[in-house]
Amino acid sequence: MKRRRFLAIATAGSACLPVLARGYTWPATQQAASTGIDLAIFDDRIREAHRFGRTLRRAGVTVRSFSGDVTALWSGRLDAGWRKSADSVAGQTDKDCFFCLSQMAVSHGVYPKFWIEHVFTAAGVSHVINGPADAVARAGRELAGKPDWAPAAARLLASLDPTRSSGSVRETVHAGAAAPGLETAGDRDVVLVSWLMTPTHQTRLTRRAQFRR
Amino acid sequence: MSLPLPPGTDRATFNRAMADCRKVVGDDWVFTSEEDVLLYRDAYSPLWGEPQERIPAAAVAPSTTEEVQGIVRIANQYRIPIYAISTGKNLGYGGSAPSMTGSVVLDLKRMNRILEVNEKQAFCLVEPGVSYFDLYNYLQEHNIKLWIDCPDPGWGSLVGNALDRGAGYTAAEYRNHFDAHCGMEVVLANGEVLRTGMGAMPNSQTWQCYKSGFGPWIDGMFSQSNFGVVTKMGFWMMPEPETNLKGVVHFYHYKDLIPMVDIMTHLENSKIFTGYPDLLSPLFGTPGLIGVHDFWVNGPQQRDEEFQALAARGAAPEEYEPYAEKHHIPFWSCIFSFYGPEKVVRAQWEHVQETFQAQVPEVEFEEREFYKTPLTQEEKDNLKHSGQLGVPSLKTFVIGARTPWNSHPSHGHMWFSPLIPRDGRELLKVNDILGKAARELGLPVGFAFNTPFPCWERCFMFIIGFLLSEDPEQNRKSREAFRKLVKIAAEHGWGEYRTPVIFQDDVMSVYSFNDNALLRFHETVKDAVDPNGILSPGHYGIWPKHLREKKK
Repeated sequence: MKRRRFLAIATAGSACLPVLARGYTWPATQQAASTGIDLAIFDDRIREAHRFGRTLRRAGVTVRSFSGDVTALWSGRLDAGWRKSADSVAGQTDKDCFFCLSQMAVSHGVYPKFWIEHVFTAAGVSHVINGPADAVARAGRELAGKPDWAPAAARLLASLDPTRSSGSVRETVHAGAAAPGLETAGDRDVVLVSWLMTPTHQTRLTRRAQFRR
Repeated sequence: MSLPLPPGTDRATFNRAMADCRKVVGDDWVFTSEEDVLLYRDAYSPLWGEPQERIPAAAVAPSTTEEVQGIVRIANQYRIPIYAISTGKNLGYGGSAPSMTGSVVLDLKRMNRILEVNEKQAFCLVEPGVSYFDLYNYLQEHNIKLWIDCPDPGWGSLVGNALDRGAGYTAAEYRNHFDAHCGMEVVLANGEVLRTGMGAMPNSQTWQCYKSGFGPWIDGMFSQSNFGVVTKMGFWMMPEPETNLKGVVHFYHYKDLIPMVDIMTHLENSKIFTGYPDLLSPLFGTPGLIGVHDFWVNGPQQRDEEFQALAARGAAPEEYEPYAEKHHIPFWSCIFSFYGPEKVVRAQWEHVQETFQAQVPEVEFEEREFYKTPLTQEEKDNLKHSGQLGVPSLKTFVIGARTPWNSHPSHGHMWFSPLIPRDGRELLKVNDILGKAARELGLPVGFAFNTPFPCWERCFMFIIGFLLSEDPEQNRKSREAFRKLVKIAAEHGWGEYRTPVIFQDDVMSVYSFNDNALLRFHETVKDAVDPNGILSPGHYGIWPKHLREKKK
């Protein structure tokens, strides 16, 4: 683990004490994580995404926001960044932004490794979790029945070590009724996605600095 | 999901071929793991997750023309089919997935050099991996006063889009991306390199200045085909205009569509205006280019009870005329776009107004937008349709997305896009026939009237969008409906300009004049230039001999 990463996670731990006091359990594998998030992004139109961004910022992750259209973020930051190095990027966005960014990430040898679709329904919020089986199982445990799921999703992504597992499964868990203030302002029907994009195995090996786009 | 092998190839042979490819491009650039290869699936595949979905066997990413030659020779030696992609962003028309399962994707993204931009002569020469964003950024960084002409979205390749005959939104001579090209370099199936046009002359000084060279002009054979791998391509570019003016003409009667299209086409062919003529119907809520993003974000406008009653009883378009008159809502509008010095564009706009005023009663005019270049960043950020001003964007991904008004997002889309004449009567007819057919086939029809895309000067592209689903049964119905529309359109003489991979055989089959003489000619050429059938088998309905016989 890089020293910076270690310090970041340690800082995050202390910042999240109130959450821990409410029963949140920091994932057991965090200390063993060998990769982390180099950049986090969120859609600032969405109230929950601000909580996601704040959580990761406290964890020492560089965080950028955008408003719906990812063009400027892509051409001003992500494209240039991925040309230089195959970084892992996390985000909380709506689904079309997630799709769009994932398609562009793929061109850099980076791809969505783990993502959670937060679906607002009349019965509350459901989380559709996609990724390696062990990560999905852990996310299911962490998010089930948890009303304050946005920061929990952020911490979960920060602690994942996608280099250690592969494959993809899908599982749905219910968080129950949305807590007051969790609805997105004016965007109640928007499905949010919390996601982590990481380099493929081969990209990690080669760094693919040449694989420019 | 396990990866397929190329048809007729055993594992040991395939492994030897991949080992040889590694010697050409290096170990890092041959992808054989599921994790890497499945990234080349078509994210918008209408066969997503079904057994017939096109899945590659592997991918190879060369960085030079010489490496492409090496890979092609290996493919010939082992009879391995290869499927070339540029940036593979052909979403809606096939993405980066091959036409035939088991092909090896020849990924040209690493060939991303901008070889030349000549500001004085207004052209560029690029490799297939150069995207519209790349070229745009290059122009900005080097303060070059040229514009790109990009499609929606701007992440695709200039070469790839032109070879698929995509279209853009600036001035007419640049909107047809294949027509705007000038000269190409091609690796043939035998590994030889060919340069077209003036490029055939060693040390040519005019490769990107004169298109046809000497003798037969063969460039068209390398677009929508599988006769070679294009490794360089020149394009003519639009000098940055001093201004862009958009003026709107509003029409208040159903039948005004007929003179509107005639006059618009005449004015365009007379070069009175050169920008994209943006057609819309305020009455039916059919958005034009500059309204389409807001439409997808905010949804259709709310209608009063009177309008809803007309819609509910399936009123014919002309039956809305009293409603339009009563509320003074334009039946049709056309936004004309002018590029050039302010004095010139204002004179052109004045002439457009005078022409319509003289020929169509009750028209109204409105100046909508006026920009001076260079645009400020704030102006760029707020453009309603940035492509019309040479700025690439990704806003198009709002199509089918979940928004406050659309709680059922799609999982991609595909386009049924036949060409129809630039004629108002024909436009009314195509809406009647294809609109009726679409409703009968159970397709969601968004508008009472579809306005066409006037990308090219002498025809319209009439698009019906199919939103894809995660439900295979729904996708199966969409595929069936698509195939029926291909046939219905063909019965009326309307053929697709381009189509998703899985429908290319269907579309090619309706280009059947004189017992499919065109397809038979394609096949003759294919057998001659690619006797082992290694280049993109099945692409645009062209199958090599051994696979044609198997298909029979």
